[in-house]
Order: sequence, then C-alpha cells, then structure tokens
Amino acid sequence: MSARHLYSLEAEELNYGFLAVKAKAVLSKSLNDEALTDSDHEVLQNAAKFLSNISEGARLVETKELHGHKSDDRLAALSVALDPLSGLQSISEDEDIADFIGQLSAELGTVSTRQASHSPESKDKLKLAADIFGGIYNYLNSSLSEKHRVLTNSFDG
Amino acid sequence: MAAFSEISYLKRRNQTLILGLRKRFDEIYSSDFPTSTPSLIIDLIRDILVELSNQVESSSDEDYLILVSRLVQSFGGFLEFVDNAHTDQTPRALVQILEDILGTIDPNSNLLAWPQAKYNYSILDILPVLKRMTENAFNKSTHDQIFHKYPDALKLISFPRTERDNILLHSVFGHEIGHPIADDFLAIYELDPGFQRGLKTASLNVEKDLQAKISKLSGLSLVQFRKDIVDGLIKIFKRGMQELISDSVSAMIFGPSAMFALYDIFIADDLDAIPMAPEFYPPSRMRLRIVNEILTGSGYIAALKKLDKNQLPQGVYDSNTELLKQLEAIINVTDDKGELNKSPFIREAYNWIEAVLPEAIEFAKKEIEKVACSVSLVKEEVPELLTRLNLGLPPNEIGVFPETQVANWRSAILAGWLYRNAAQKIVNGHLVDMSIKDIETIHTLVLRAVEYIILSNDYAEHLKNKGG
Repeated sequence: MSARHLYSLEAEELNYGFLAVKAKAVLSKSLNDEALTDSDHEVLQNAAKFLSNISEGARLVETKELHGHKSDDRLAALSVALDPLSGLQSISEDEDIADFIGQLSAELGTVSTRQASHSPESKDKLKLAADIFGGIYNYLNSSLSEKHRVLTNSFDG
Repeated sequence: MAAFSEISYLKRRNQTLILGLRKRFDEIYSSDFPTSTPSLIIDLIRDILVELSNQVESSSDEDYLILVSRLVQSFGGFLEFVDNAHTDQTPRALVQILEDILGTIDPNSNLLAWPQAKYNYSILDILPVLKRMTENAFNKSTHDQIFHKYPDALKLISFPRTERDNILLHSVFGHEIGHPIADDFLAIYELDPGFQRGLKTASLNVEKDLQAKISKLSGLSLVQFRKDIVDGLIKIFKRGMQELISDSVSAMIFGPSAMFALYDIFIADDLDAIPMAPEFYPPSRMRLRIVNEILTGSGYIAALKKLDKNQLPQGVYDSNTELLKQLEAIINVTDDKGELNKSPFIREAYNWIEAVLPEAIEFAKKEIEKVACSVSLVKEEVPELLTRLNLGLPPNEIGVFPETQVANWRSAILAGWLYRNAAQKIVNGHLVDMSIKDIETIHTLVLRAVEYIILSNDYAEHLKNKGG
C-alpha cells in the first residue's frame, strides 16, 4: 500500500542525470572537433531521443494525442526539462517548444554522421543543446542533493 | 603533480563509498534467508558496484563522479531490504503463502519478504529500478552484460515489523500481489484508444474549468500548466486504478479475510479523505465498498450469513453478523463520492476510473484464476477450523483421525479472523472477553496451521512427482 514512486522517481533522476552529464561532455568534444568514439555516438543517439521525447511531450500536453504510444517517457522527459528550459535566455516566451526542441533533437541526430566541421548555425544549436543538458544536470543534482541531505536536524531527514 | 586535485579527491571518496557498501552487503550475505532472492539481489548490487568502481577509476568528469556518489548513496538504502529478510525476522509461513501464490501466477519472478520499521505494506520489483538507475551510468554493452545473468523480476514485499506475527493482517499480501497485475492491465490499456479518449475528455474538462488561468498563459508557462494537468490526471487515474484493482485481487485471493484486514487498517482513517499527493490513494470507504462488491458478487457475504450458528463456537456468529452490518452501514454512506467532486482533477480522474474499473477487474479475475479463494470453503472447512481454534488447536485440518484432510490455508486465516472478531471465549461455562494474550494465541495457532498446510501440500506434491 506503498511508496513505490520514491524509488522510481530517484531512478529517473539518476538515469537522466547521467545522460545529461555524458551528453554535455560529448557535445563539448564535438564542438571542439575532437574525434568521437562508438560510445560517444551511443550517447548522442540517447540524447537525441531524450530531446525528441521532450518535444513530443510538449505536443502531447497541447493536443492530448498519444498516437498509440505510452506517455511515461515523454512526460518524464518534459518534466525534468521544463525548469532548466525556463532559465535559458535564448527561448522566447512565444516559442513553440515542441518545434524548437524537435529541431535540436534532429541536429544531434545528424552529428554522428557528419564528416566536415559544423556550420555556424549547427554550432549554435549544439551549444544550446549542451546548455540544456548542463541545466538539466544542475536541476537533477540539486533535487538528488535534497533527497540525500547528510546533515539534517531531525530523524525524518 | 598538483598538491590537491578535486577530481582525485572525488575518485578516492567514491572508491571508499563503494568499498564500504560492498562490505556491508557481504556481511549480510551468509544469513539464513527463507528464499534465494536476497542473495541474488546482493550479487547483482555487488556486480554493479564492481563496474562502478571501474568507471570511477577511468573517469575524470567531475559531474559524473558526483552522480556516482549519489548512486552509491541510493544503493545504501537497499541494505534495509535484505537486513531483516532472514528467518529470525520473517516467519517462513509469510514467504510460503507468497510463494504459493506468486509461484503459480508468475513462476519467473523471485521474491523477498522483509519487515520494515515503517507501518506499511508495499511491493517493489527492484530489477527495473536498478536497470533504470544505471542505464546511462554505463554504456549499453556493459549494462547488458551485468543484467543478463539475472532473472526477469526481483520482487520485494515488505510488511510492518510491528505486525510480524499477526498472520491475519497479512491477508493484505493479496493486495500487494495485485499491484503487478494492475500494472499489467494499465500497460495494455495505455496502448488502447480508450486511454487516449479518457485522457482527452478528462483533460479538456479540467482545462474548461481552469480557462480563466489558461487564457493568460503562453509559451513555456502554458506548456508547464498543461503538463501539470495531463500528468496530474494520469497520476491520479493510475494510482486509483492500481489501488482498486489490487484491493479486488486481495478479495479474490483471500476472500472475506481481505475485507477484515482492510477494515482493521482503515478503522482509524477519515474514510472520505480525497486522494492526495504524492500517493493519491482512493478514499478508504470506496475501497471497502469495492471489496465488498467483489465478495458479495462471489457469494461470500451470503455464505458467511448462512453459517449454522449452532455449529460455531459461541459468540462467533453474532459478533460477525454485527460486524458485517457495520461494514454494510459504512459502504452504504456515499460521502466519499461527494468529496471526489470537489476538485476538477479528482472528479475527472474518478469518472474515468469508474468507466474502466469493471474491465480491469475482469482482467484481474482471469489472471488470478488458479489461486482464487473458493466460496465453498466457508461452509465446508471454516466451521470445523473454528472448533479447533476454540479447543486451542491449530486450524490446519478437518475431519477425525484417521479420516483427516489438510485444510486450505485461506480457510485457516478466515477462521482466525472470525474467531478474533468475536473476541470471546467460554470460561467455566460463561462467555467472557478474550485477553490480548488470547488474541496473540490465535495468531500463533493460525501461523502454525499455515506452515503445516503448505508443508503438507509441498510433501504431497513431492510424492506425486516421485510417482509415489
């Protein structure tokens, strides 16, 4: 009769936290034109999928259409991204968030197949994606820190 | 070489944490557990910790190292699952009941029962949690390599340690076993067009109620507001369904014992409290009503009322008839329904639940068919088992030696409830109130009976398989 969600919530935060840390690091490598490893490409694919989930999550809450897919991943991705996104200057108040994040996801998807250096427009998008992942890491790390307070003033933690 | 490096410090700190946690799990490993699941969980966590140690060694990313320390701290919380899962703290009968049920409906799952200090029953499949926690900490091939050795499910079922020896209350295990069944139903239903229709109707109705606020929002604030509506509705809907399906499963597996256990748990509750974050439990009155509907529909309530008063120990029939009347009076009040209408979120989510719940209960019925309680036990076994309890004997068999027959453990628990509900016994020809010691004795006798019944059944199965 249970508190199952506490463990599941923490698992989500750690899962997205590790993804954000790794995505930020790989994007930084890519922006510096460093060669990417197989493992880096795997991270980029996961990061693109995560951004795509945020985009689809934003569309879902607007249209209430699920298109035969489960809502969990899309709503979870949107939930962890909204706070960090609101801190970004480059997103205007009337921006269509679903389109905006959808474009970043597509850009990440093409990085792994690109041979030449990034175009200036592509670099801007990748920098923005790196900022978003940085913001998500900070947000999740704060939340996890709150859950794991070591010095508390009561037995409840 | 720098005199101090924060990265090196973090690495050493993480390695110390990992080593400390490994040692704590090692200390528990050799305990006497009723099943092999605790050892499996410890093996898996040890495997993850070994790989984390490798990653810490090769990483120089400060943020990654910080998250590893958070992950190891989280794993530390899992110590409590296995710490008291040994036989000194977890009676074998509890695990035997759970294995008897789960082994039939979900043979691939592994089970661990543990007493927790918190007054709470719960179930958690730890495997998906561990997988999710570490999914992005490792690359895919390393992650797959760790998990492929382990079974499909590692289910942890906890019970309040205070009630460890109260086998009657553990009828609530039926509810916990219902949770995975509820999750299976919801996983299928979420892909059904009916889910989208339900969500859309509920969301648009809530948005209509909140139109004044919505018209002032745009961009990210509007997305956030709508996300809260959709997310909130799905949460309230799913949590309500999970609890109500699980309650129904409990009644299907344990029969009237499930209702007596819920009454015991809810007696101190505000029966009409509306679902509240973060757990969004349905009102207790609604839960009792649904369990009662299942029991009435299956004939249990009628069977209890039809018991021959003269065949039962004195006081048992009258007390239980009064208790059933009290329960009827509780469920006939509909204040809970009125309360649900006070919030647009709760109202819409519960309209949605009302439309889908009958289909979910039918689904659950099929899933637990092989372990369902049978109404015939009430008449065929319970009266004799009550007589045994009245004589101070474990309610494990019916008949007279040598023509005895092992009873069903569900009947033993139900007899225990009926006898305890009466809370009266004959002393020197007079009916007197039972002492608390007498009630403890009922728990002990029923616990022994359940252990005996399940061992007898296992032995009979063993002989059958041997061709004996």
